[in-house]
Amino acid sequence: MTHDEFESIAALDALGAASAEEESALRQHMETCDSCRRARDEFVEAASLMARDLDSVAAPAEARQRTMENAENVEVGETTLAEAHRRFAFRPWWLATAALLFLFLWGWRELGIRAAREKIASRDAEINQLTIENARLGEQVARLSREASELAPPGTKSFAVSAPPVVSARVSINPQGQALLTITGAPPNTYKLWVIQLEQPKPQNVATFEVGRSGQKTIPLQRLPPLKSIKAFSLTAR
Amino acid sequence: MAAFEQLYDRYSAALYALLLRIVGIPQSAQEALEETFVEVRQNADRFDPLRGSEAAWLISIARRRGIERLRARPVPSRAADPMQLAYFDGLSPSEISERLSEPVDRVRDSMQLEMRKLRDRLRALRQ
Repeated sequence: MTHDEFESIAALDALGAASAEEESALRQHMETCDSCRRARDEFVEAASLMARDLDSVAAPAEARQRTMENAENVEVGETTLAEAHRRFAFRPWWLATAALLFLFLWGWRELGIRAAREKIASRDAEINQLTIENARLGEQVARLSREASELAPPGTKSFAVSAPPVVSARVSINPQGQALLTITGAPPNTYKLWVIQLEQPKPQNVATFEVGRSGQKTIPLQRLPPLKSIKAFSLTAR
Repeated sequence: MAAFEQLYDRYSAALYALLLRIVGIPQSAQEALEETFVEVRQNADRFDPLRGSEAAWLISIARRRGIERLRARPVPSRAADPMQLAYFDGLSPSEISERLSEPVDRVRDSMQLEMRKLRDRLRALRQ
């Protein structure tokens, strides 16, 4: 039987008009189906509107008297209706469930926050390490550059090569026209060196080479144009 | 006991009107009213506010008490509406079908339709 069919039975049941079989099936179904139980409760509430539509009639005073006397003598249920309302609000199982749920959600949130904090701390440490390493490499590049300049014979012309970020490159050309490219800090890749000439708008490729994991490379350059026509060098990665 | 007296004063007129409508005899309605409130006092702890209103719970107890009395000493009903015959006279769909000379399925369909209308009215009242 579908939920729609149970809902139709619930409508009749609220009027006391469902058959015994239907009523039994509905009761059994409602034990595991909250939505049908709520539908049945709502139909009971709706059916009560028929009674509420009637004009009230004051019951005789003696009926009240007898009711109170009878009520005094009966074994009272655990509570009055008002107390039932209050008891519902403070049912221990209800509070325990709410407390457990709260603790679970709170604990889950705390675990999430702790994991996020650990992740941030780990990244901060990594950033610090990389910053230190970067500074060290920068110093090394500057030192090598100074040493190369000092070792170069007098009259050697040196060009700082325009290169991708983190790559440091320099072309040195001695008075005999021998040229040397030195690279440091280059990620492993294939690179191209371009020369830009004073009266030649189009850059000219003068070397193509690989850089390995060391990030360093020194290569002699063979096909350079005359020194006086060279304006600049540029290095590109593939 | 004071809370019980307040409950009686708040609902007794509505429940007495319902019981008069069902059993049709004032004396019998008064007795059913007394039985209703005694049952309410005995079973107050069974009331669950999550499942419905206090009024609906009291009405369902009073109606059951009234229908039980009516079945013990039937009173002829002049109602011609399936909803009235079911709710106030406690008749089953087949009894209503006989009374109104209508097919049972039509009676059941009509009752289900009317109950859905009542539910819509209830929802509108709640808003």
